[in-house]
Formats: sequence, structure tokens, C-alpha cells
Amino acid sequence: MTQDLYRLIYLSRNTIPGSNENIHQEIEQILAVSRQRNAASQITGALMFNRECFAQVLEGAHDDIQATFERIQCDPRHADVVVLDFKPVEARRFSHWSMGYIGYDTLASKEFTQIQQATGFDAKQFSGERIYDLLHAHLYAAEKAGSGLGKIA
Amino acid sequence: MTIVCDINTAMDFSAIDSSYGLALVDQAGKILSANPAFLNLFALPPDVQNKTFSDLTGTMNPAATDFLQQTLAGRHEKAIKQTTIIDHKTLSVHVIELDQAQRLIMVESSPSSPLPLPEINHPAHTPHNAAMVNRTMLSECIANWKPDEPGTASLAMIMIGLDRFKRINETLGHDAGDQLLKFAAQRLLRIVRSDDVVAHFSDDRFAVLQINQNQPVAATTMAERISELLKRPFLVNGQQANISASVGLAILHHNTESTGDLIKHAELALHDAKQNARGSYRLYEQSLQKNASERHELEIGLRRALFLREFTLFYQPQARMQDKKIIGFEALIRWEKPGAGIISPLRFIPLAEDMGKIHEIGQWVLQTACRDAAAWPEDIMIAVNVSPVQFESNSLKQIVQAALTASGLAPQRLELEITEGLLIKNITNALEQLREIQAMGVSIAMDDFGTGYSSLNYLSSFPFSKIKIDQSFVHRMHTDKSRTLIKAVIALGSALGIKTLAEGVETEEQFDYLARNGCEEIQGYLLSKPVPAEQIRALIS
Ligand SMILES: Cc1cc2nc3c(=O)[nH]c(=O)nc-3n(C[C@H](O)[C@H](O)[C@H](O)COP(=O)(O)O)c2cc1C
Repeated sequence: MTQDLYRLIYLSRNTIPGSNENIHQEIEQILAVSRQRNAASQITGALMFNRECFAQVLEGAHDDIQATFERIQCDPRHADVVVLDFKPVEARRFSHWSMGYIGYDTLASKEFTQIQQATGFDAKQFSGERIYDLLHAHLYAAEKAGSGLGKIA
Repeated sequence: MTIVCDINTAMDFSAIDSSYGLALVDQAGKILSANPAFLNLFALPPDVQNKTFSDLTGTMNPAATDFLQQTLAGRHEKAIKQTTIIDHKTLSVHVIELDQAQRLIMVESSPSSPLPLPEINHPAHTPHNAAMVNRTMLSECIANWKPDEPGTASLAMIMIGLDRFKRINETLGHDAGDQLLKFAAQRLLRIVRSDDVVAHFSDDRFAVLQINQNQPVAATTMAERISELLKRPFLVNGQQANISASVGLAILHHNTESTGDLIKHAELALHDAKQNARGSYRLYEQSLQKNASERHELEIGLRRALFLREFTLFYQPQARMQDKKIIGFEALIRWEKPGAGIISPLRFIPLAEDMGKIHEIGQWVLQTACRDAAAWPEDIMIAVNVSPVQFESNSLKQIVQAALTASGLAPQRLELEITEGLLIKNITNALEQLREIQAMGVSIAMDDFGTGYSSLNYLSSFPFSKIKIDQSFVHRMHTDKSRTLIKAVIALGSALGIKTLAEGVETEEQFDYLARNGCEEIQGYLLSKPVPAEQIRALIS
């Protein structure tokens, strides 16, 4: 089972201090490391950020997700990690991206915020599928529109 | 440091009297010459010339050979410096490439090692510099510790206990449990400082030793960080697993004066943290030692109490509401500990449960109560409390059967009182055992109702013969909340066809209120306090 394809969706609270600029720098750094390391262990996925929170999807072999997630878990740049979903899947849906990114002033991020407000910030009421679909739809839309995903919005 | 050494002429190092260890090696790692200090530092014999370090494997500390070989093996531009700890000495080794053929090794030893860590010999190889040591090594580190400077001298022991780890083993399997331990260890190694010592202390316990840091700040900050970090979910075997960690701290000169007490005190603090609030941390203080000593005393006493016949049973009557006629008794255990007087069951029963002693005590209570009751009139019932722990051995049914057989008591006269706690843990198994016991003709009452989770599900999950309303509600009957709850339980009982009994009834006023609201039975000082077996005849006649 350890080589089976799995998908992880989690939410966490941003704890990066300081100005927007500082936050941007940190996220740039997270993305750079993620893209490099995820590519090396054949992990694909997407990260969404809305100032308050991160939402991330990771796809890959069970053990690779495990190892990556353990690194992410020890990262002091976020806290209150809630796993929404961790399960085997048939196929990847983010195979284009070692780590796609949706920044805070995008439409998707605003929707993310709206969902959060609607659920009263109660992570337990969050549906993993909803986050997943949101990320997926918006990454594809952005790709079609030709906007640079590598850039921080 | 400046060492003048003309390599072309002074090939013989044996005369260089320096505190630095000096050795000249050739390309292949063969020792060309070494000074006395070098031989001393590595405990080498004088005749090392023309030998490589691997030739010397048998004579040297293997950690030292490994280290030197690794240091020499690397291709270095000009000079490198490596540090290691061997035989509790911190060694800084400089390797200087003199030319194509020769390299100079200089070794500097600092007398007091800030980190006498036997495991770490290749600090450059692990990204976080820390490795997991075992319990013995942890004790050695503490024993070998010497204060750096008197002012900053401190040691802090952070003892980490994973909460609910046994449950992970039970529900997700031992394989998942092992994985989770591995990840927990890795998380700790990631966040500690490189000079912290991290130990796998026992099954579900880890320990972090902080050396010469600013205390108590460093330890409390770390404790918070650790409990936060271990609360975060783990992914094991395709599933999400959540645990938490409780932390006990003992810091030198903060209630702990001797390094020898650090581990013990940290364990006591951990024990207290676990008891009070899982996922929290606690700094050792003297009262914990006192509590632990008392507990220890009690434990010793409890181990021999049965044998020495220090337990007795008292019986408290239960009566019908309408005419106050006594219809049964509840058996209550009493422990008179020589020299200490009467010990409340509230204190010793949880301890007996922890120790596993509750099985024997429970068996004795059942046997004694059945035997006593067999001598009473046939229409008088006997109620006996059973602890959830007694269900864990899966032999309660046999124990009940044996008590009935030995005493000759009719099963219909025996009632077991259980608490909601039993149904919370492993409801399927508990219900199965209850059904088997009930099938023998014994009835089952729900005790202390209202104090725990009070789920209606529990009441409807089994045909209980009785609901006992906890005495705390009866005592607080003047409050709206208690009155509402009492009324609700009585109504619930009548809806489900279960009798209700109110405990702790002391006044006529309470009695009247309960009677008005349809409660069927009472127990309490208004009727009688618990009495020894000899006084029962007088009470019923
Ligand atoms: C919200 C968030 C998401 C991250 N996602 C990834 C990721 O997908 N892959 C990854 O390798 N690192 C990710 N990181 C960075 C890791 O936490 C960590 O810093 C990085 O993997 C380097 O780990 P190391 O320093 O232990 O080698 C993420 C960090 C944060 C805060």
C-alpha cells in the first residue's frame, strides 16, 4: 500500500509575522523549496493562501506524502494544522504542478475566505472536496488564461 | 594558535611538547610521526609510525578511528576543522594539507565537555546534529555533566509522554504505533538545538536534556513547542492519527538541587501533567514528591490490605418511597489502614484500578456481600459496585457465578451497579458481558447517573433495572439546574420503564420533592448511614 497513490488536503493557520512583503518572501521561499523537493519525490499539488490560512493539496505515493507532510508539520511558519482528507485516489489531478500556487488577491482565495466565513472558521465543517475543487478549477482557469502561476499574485 | 613547524626538516614530532596533539600523515593515511600529546589524546601506544588509523582499530576507541578516517577521507582544499566527542572529551581536529604528500593533523581537547554525548561522532553528517540516545546514555550525559561557567550552569530535563498512545496501537495496529513513534522522534529531533540530548526513554516516552541554557525559559518554551508540535496530526498507514503529549519538567536549581534527581523529578511532573490535563506541561515542585510518596505508601498498604483483612463491608439501606420499607442494601467497602485510620474509597479505588488490584478486591467484595446477604430475609436485595476495570479481564461473569454458588444466594437478589464510564470505553464488549450476567438472573443498575456523559443512548442500550440519581444532585436540589435534571431523569426512567433511586437523601424536604416527582426509591442518611453487617437484622425488623 505504501506505493499507492494518495491525496492529502489540509488547512493551517499562517503564523508568518511582519509585513506583506515579508510574508511574500517567505511564501516565495516555501514555493521554491516545495517545487524542488516535490519534483524530486514525484509529488504534485497546490497551495492556496488568503492571509489567514493556507490550504494545500498534495498528491503522490503514500510514503512520499508522509515524509513531506512530516517536514511541513515541523514548519514554524504555520500552526493549527487540520487534515481534511487523506485517502487513496485513482489518478492525479494536479499532475501539471509540483506546487501550484493561488495567492491572496485571487478570486479563488476570496472564495476560500468566503467558505471560511460561512463555516464560522470551524475547520471541522470544511469539506476537503470543496477546497480541492476550488484549487483545481482555479489553477486550470489560470493556466488557460496564461497567467504566470509561478508568480506570487 | 601558531605552531611553527618546518616540515622539511622537522619530520620527527615526538619531541614536540605541546598541549596540542600533532601528527603527520601521508597520502594513504599512514602516520609519519606523532607527538606525545597526540598519542595521549587517543590512548595510542608509542609505535604508531607507518601505521594507518585502520591498522590501529583494535587499540583505539573505535569512534576515534572512525572519526579520523572520515576526516582524512574527505577531499579538502586547504584546511578543515571537525569537532567530536570521544570518551567525554570534546576534540577539535584541524587537518591541514601541507603538500600533495603530507597532511598535518592538529587536535585540541577542551577539558570540560559541554555535551558528553557518546552517540554523536559525525556531527557533520546529520542535518540537525542530534541523534536519539537511549535511557542509559541519557543518565550518563547527566552524570558526566560539568557546569560551563558557574553563572550559567543549568540542566533541564524535559520528559515527554505521548497521551493515548496505547489507543493508537489498539485501533490502528502496532505497526502504525511504531511508525507514529518514529515520526514523533523525528519531529523532536527537528526542533531541538544541536547541543540538546534527545532520548527515547521508554515505550511512549521521550526525553530532551537541555545543557547550559537560559532556564527556566528555555525549558518551558521548548515544552510548549513540543506539545504544540505533537498535537498536529500524523499520517500513518493511510490514515490520520491524532495524539497529544504531556510534558514534565525538572530544572536544576528550580526545586531540583541534585542532578541525580532530574529524571525522577521530571517523571513526577509528567505524571502530574497527565493526571491534571493531558497535553499540558508541568514544572516539578516539592509537593509532587510528597503526593508521590503518599501514593507509594498507599500502594504498599493496598497490596497487603486484603491479606491482612483490613477491608470490611458496610451496608446502606435502600427503601421504597411510598412506605420507606427497606428492600435492599448497597455494599460499601471500608479500608481501615493501621496507623492511618479510614481511607476513603475515593482515594484508594482509583489507585487499585491503576494497579490492577481492583480485580482481587472486587472479587472479595462480591463474595463477601453475597455471603452476608444470603443470611438476610429472601425479599432483601444486595447491590454491589463493579468498576469498569473489572470488565477488562473478561472473567467477571465467572466471578459473579462463583460468588453466587459459594453463598447459595439466589441470582435474582443480586444487583450490580455500573457507571457510565464502562460504556464509554468499549461499549460492545461491555454490553455483551452485561447481557451474559443478566441472563444468569442478576440485575444491572446504572450508578452515578448525571455525573458523566449521561447519554440517553446508554440508558436505552441496555435493559437496566434501575437508574441511581447521583447524590450531588440531591444535595444541590435548591438549584434550578439540579431540580430540572432530577425531574428529567425520573421522567426518562418512567418512559423507559426503569426504576429511579435517589442517593444521598438527608432531609424530609428532599424526600418530599422526590416523592412528588415520582422517584421510586431512596437511599441516604434520612433512612440510615451505612452499617456493619451485624446491625442489619435490627434495621429490617
Ligand atoms: C504551508 C506550507 C506548505 C509547504 N509545502 C511544502 C511542500 O509541498 N513540499 C515541501 O517540500 N516543503 C513544503 N513546505 C516547506 C517545509 O515546511 C520545509 O520547510 C521544507 O520542506 C524544507 O525542510 P527541511 O528544512 O527539513 O529540509 C511548506 C511549508 C509551509 C509553511
